[in-house]
Amino acid sequence: MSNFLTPGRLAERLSWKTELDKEDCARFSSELFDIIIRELKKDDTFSIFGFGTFRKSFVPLSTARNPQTGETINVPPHYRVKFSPAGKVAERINAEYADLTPIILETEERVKEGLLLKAERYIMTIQAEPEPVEPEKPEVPEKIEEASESDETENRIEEIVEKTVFTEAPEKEELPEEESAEASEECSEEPTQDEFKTEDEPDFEFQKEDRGFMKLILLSLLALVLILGIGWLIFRNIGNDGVTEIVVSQAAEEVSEPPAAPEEPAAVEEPITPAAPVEAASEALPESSYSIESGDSFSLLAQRRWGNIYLWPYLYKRNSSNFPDPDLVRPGDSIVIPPEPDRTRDQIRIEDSIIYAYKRYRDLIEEQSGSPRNPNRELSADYVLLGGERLYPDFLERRKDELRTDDIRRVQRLGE
Amino acid sequence: MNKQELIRELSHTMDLPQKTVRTTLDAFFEEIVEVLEGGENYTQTGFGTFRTEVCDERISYNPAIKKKMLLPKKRKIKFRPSAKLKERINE
Repeated sequence: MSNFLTPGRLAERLSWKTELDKEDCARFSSELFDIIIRELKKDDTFSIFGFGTFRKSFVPLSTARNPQTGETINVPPHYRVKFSPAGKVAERINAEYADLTPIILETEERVKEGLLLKAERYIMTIQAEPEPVEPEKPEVPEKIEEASESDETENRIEEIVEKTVFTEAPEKEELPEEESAEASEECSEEPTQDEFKTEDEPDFEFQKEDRGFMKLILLSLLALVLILGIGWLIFRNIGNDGVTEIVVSQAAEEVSEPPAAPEEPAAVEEPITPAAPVEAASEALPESSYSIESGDSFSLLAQRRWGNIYLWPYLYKRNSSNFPDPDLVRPGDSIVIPPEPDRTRDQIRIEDSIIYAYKRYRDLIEEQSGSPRNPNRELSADYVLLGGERLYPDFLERRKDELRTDDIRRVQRLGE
Repeated sequence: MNKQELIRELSHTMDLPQKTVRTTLDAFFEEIVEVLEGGENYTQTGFGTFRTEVCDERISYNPAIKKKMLLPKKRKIKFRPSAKLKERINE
């Protein structure tokens, strides 16, 4: 037996059930479908209650391609008949799989993880390889102490020092270039310094490069001694008018290293650009500007510059006028990096900045209520507060009037 | 056209009482569905073929709840109009 049921066989079965004989049944079905076709020609739909609906739809002129010959064929406009079963019939047919229900798949909201999450993971990777970090960390507090010891006036003067160093540097650079052509002997005399200088530029982008961190320690010690020396000199000559002159001569000492090795001009230009801002940041001196590269974020920069990711709201607040969305920085944008804040001295300012960043996220969520980034923003807001709590225990307790209670609860859960 | 009109029309062309036509019509469609349930096809000459097909589970997007959903395996009725039907419809 084939699994095809023809009208003839159906008529036979039908005749058992009804009072009609087989011939009548066959005629019945053909008459029935004849009517259906006639009705379909007149109307768009024909529905039989308890069985289903036949629907006629219009297909406009379209072109198709014969895949064998590659020629294009015009498909003339035509009607097409579709059948959709009644609900009950569809259920009966599907009885076998009736117990299966659709499952809502949880969308992967965390796929686009926020910058903060990324940064948190960045910390983890850094802590996993502690070698390059350890020599760095002890230095930072030392420098902070120095900075805090020195007066504000000294700060300003050192600021001038830095500036003079920067302005002087390119001039000095050009001269040796010409000299170097003539006096290559000089260069051969000082290859060690040359090596030092070229080695130390990548080192200033610390935590990413682990190579040569011993040299970094030595260099930073040297730098410390130098800075101390400058400080002393300035301190002594504070009332004098000759401050800037001394400063310049001192600066010349500092700069004397790079010009000594100007075999390739490119190699010389480099140390000035990357080294300068880092020096500035680590010594807690002037504000420096920085141009965003791809992959940068406020949190990553805070981690890289200050060794503490939770300080990023402080960095953000300084630049908030240009960046309404803390998550949105584009490569090429320039931001201002303020001097490193002191955790105890600048506590109020840091806390304010954390509250500020948190409120910014909350405002953004309210302003763009339909934005798909809102879950990330909420998470980021929580992480900002968590950072505050980690910097200053009972930060949440003290500032709870300014925060929403359910946020506080969430952050506390996050912290656990 | 509703069912009552269909029955009236059929009883007119078949020269049968409406009551008989009604029971026959119900039995007729019941028979088709039963046959389809059993996994067989039904071909009405000059009209088309009804058959069933098992569709595998698939992932689709529900725009109402804005989430992806895994739709389960399902058995469906498929109707394929015959050439004659197409011809007559497009006359």
